Amino acid sequence: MHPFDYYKPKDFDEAFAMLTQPGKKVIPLAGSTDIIPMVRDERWLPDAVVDIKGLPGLRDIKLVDSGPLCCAGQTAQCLYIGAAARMNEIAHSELVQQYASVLAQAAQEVGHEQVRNRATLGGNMGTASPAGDTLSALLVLEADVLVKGKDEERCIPALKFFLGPRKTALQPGEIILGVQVPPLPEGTLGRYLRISRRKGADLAIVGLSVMAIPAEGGYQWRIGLGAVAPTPIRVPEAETILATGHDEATVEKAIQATLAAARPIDDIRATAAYRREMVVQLTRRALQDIIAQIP
Amino acid sequence: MEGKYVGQAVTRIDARSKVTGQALYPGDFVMEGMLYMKLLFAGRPHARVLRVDTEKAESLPGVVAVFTSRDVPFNEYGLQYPDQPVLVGPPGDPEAARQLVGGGIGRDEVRFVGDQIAAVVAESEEIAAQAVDLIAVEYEDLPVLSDPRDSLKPDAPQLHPKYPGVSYHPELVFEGNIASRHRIRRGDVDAAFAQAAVVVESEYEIPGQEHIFLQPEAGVGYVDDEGRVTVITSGQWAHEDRHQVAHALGLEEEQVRIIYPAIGGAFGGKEDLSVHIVLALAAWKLHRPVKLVWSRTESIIGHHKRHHVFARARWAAAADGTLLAAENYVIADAGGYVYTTNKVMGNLLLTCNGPYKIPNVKTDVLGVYTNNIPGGAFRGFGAPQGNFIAEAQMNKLAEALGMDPVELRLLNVVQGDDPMPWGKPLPDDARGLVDTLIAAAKAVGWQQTEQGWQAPACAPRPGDPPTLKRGVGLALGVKNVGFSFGYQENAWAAIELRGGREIEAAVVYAASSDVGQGTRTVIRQMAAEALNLPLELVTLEPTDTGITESSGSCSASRMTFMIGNAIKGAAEAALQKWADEDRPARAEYTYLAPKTTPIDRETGYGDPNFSYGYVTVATQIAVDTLTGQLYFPKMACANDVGQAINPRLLTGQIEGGVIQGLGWATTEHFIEKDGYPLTKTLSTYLVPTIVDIPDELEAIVIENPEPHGPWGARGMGEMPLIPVAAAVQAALHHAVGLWYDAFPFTTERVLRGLKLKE
Ligand SMILES: Cc1cc2nc3c(=O)[nH]c(=O)nc-3n(C[C@H](O)[C@H](O)[C@H](O)COP(=O)(O)OP(=O)(O)OC[C@H]3O[C@@H](n4cnc5c(N)ncnc54)[C@H](O)[C@@H]3O)c2cc1C
Repeated sequence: MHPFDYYKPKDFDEAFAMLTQPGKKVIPLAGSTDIIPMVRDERWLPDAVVDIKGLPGLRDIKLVDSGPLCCAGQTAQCLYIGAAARMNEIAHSELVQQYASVLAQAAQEVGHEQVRNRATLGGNMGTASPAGDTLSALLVLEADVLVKGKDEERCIPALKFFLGPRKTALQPGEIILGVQVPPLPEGTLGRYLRISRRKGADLAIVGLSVMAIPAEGGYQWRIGLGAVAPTPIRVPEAETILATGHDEATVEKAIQATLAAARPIDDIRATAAYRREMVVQLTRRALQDIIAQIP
Repeated sequence: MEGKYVGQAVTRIDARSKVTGQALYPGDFVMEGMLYMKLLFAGRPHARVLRVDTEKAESLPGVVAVFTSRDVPFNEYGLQYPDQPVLVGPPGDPEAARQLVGGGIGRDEVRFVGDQIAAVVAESEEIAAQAVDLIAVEYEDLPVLSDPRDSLKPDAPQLHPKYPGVSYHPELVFEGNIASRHRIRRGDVDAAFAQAAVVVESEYEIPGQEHIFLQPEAGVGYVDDEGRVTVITSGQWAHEDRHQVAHALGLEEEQVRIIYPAIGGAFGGKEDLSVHIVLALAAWKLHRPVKLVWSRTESIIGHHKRHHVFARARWAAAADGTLLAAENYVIADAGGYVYTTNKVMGNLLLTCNGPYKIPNVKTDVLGVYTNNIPGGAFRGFGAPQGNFIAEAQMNKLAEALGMDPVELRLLNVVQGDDPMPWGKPLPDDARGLVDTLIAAAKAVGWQQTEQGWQAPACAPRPGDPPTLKRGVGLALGVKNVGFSFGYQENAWAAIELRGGREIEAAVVYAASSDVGQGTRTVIRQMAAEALNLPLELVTLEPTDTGITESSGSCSASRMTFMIGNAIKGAAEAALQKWADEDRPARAEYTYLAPKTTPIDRETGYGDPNFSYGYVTVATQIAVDTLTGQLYFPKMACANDVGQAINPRLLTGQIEGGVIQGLGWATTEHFIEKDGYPLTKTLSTYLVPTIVDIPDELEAIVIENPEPHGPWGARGMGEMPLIPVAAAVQAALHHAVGLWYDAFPFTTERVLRGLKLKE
């Protein structure tokens, strides 16, 4: 195993000083559930890690007012989830269940109990694996990602955050502070479904986030997919189809549109063919689940 | 029977030390002046090593030594046959090399990815790892055989020289790439097929399996204060380890000592050597303690797997269900070296026709070299593969005949003096076959009706979506206990009674490997029972070849049976000496099991075993026909154990065995491509987690005393795993109407089958 240094900064200033040491590959560390296996297998070779999970505010889950960067222009409060919030904290949080149910469900699917006690939302986003469970949920929630560098903070829409496998819009030296979920109208419904080869502690073969948001007497739909493309994706084609109604024929059309958007590959976990079939099954199941809840 | 200790759920000797982290496993030992070893694995499936340049590695500061093939005095080893070099490469002393089997030809050939080229010893593990990267090896890559069926083709490259073989393993034939060959010929199958009402013909692909014991291979080698090269490590038979280490180092066995501390699992995966010889070699040459710990990936690459098997089976029955003939042709992937292939195949041979009265039997079993990771011992030792063939055929025959699978088995199962396919009846009354069958079947809903036993209907339960299909299935299993085929089974134990007027302490010596099953706890219980002493007075010395004789291997479900008899003998003798006023009163005893015979090479006839275990697994299944996901609401395993010595440990073995079998049947998919393993980590090789196992697992303990077993106990450690895969296959069929003849039954495979059916 490649040796590396471990830093635990007191505050942000110290953190950024450590993160920006010239000539060194330094990465933030949160729950380390990705870092440890990756470094052990010599796929990541950092010179140093900076443990950011103790920094102020990074573990908060709370409602916040609209800000100058993220959540701008919102009249109601946004849900703020700190980057170092653990999956179990997110899954069990009443706030998250109420304001971002699809994300609570996705967090509950990550790994197993022990992993969820350590794994963080920021780490899931930082790794940016196409199979990361929370990522498609962030896309359908149209969350904002609040990031901070040595000199400034920025807000990046989740829809523009994931650029490729293990590639994000973060600049060197920047960390994720948290995400902000814009307020959603009462009656919003969300469903996260996934399938894996083994039921416990296995990465998703397909992950699927669906939301139905009450709008003008009907519903606006959002569909996000994981593990079937280089990044998590939204499926606007299917969303447009569902905006016209959710009778059986329309649902089938939306499923076909979702399937058309998926570009899965063969790998050791599943063939592309099986992934495509699972896109169909999960989409139908999630849509039916949600439709059954529509009053 | 319930004795004072036998039959009681006595707490494990090592419960506290393991739970509190005090127990020392092989990787936990630290000695003064200790060095660290790292191995250079070949990492390629087939190549000739032309040159190994260690100069750069040796000059790295902190490196103490780099060992290669040139440094191994007798560069060969193997549990059954020494066809594997310790380190692959050109010989140091060509004269010595000529004394190796096969004249030392091909010792410079890598035959699977886990072959080792060099062992670096350094002041730290990090330095050793760096130095490994500095070793330059020049290879000439050779054509790779990755399917045993290809190895049988006439133009296939021959992977080993023609070895001479040995008289006591007549099945090791070394014909081309065929390492071992077994057969049974009884009656005339072709005539029987011609007049049969029903014939079922199938091709099966039965997968390999990785052991995933918790503790990867590790050890510390040093020279002890009596000048013996000593290895503290994990294994399953300390004295056999000693034998192989001594052979490779060219030492007398007395100059080698093996000690087993706490061991984190084995399941057959530690029958063959791993770190032992290189550690002994380094310690012997350097006279300093040396430690080696394999990573999980090194472990997965470096030790053998359950044999991957391809089989053709054709079985016939009369219209009333009476079995008429069974023909099986089995090719097993032995991988790069023999390991225990010949003996595993022997068990496959004996189990692949089931425990049934079949007048006409024709069986061929070949163990074939490839460039895959070797096939070898794994809980069940050939019986799981054999069982799958036999029980899949029986379940299919039941369907073809329109008979209930329980009824078909009751009609055909051997009883009393009915001969097995090798011409001899099972040595005891074998009541456990029927008893376990009925018990397990009932546990998942079978009912006895006027028309006989009937499987439950498996209607949807409230809330089931229409796409969820339910079913039940079962399989019956049998396997030998102990070493077979003419080997004189033996186990040694000694007991020393200390005290004056009263016995104040009883010290037990036994070389039994506690791989987690609790053998040391059970030994203590049996000794207390045999001596009629309070448990607190009985202590057990460590498994150490320096202070014990051989108690044999912790495998073949044999240890409780064998060591129990040895303990009884030693206790009786020690009590006699005590009565004769010896102080301390020490007695040794070697138990010899009833004799067995080899089987005939042409017909398979003989009396290969002295004891058998009987088991049935029955399961409920629910299949999500849209995704291919499987759920197991309930599984039951009925096991005739003769006598439970420790019911709690025994239930643990049943539960663990069933779950390990379920992993093999469902999620554990060991994938090799062109000789390269693709599932080298725990995130790609998937053992069941707590949410993957049955909602309910009923362990049914049946106790028909084994005539030769201590207190009537018979071996059981492997039994619960054996019938699981066939039971799952049957339940799947019951649920969705499809026979899946290849497994693991992964979600993807299950769904693909359903799609093809549409
Ligand atoms: C057994 C096991 C099972 C798993 N199962 C799943 C699963 O089912 N689904 C799933 O999605 N994942 C799974 N994972 C992967 C992993 O747990 C998740 O990706 C987790 O969310 C990572 O979070 P972490 O805090 O542990 O990240 P770390 O390992 O600490 O970091 C991961 C990456 O993110 C970066 N990072 C961390 N925090 C920040 C931050 N605030 N700002 C910028 N970059 C940051 C790090 O530099 C690193 O590159 C599993 C892992 C294991 C070991």
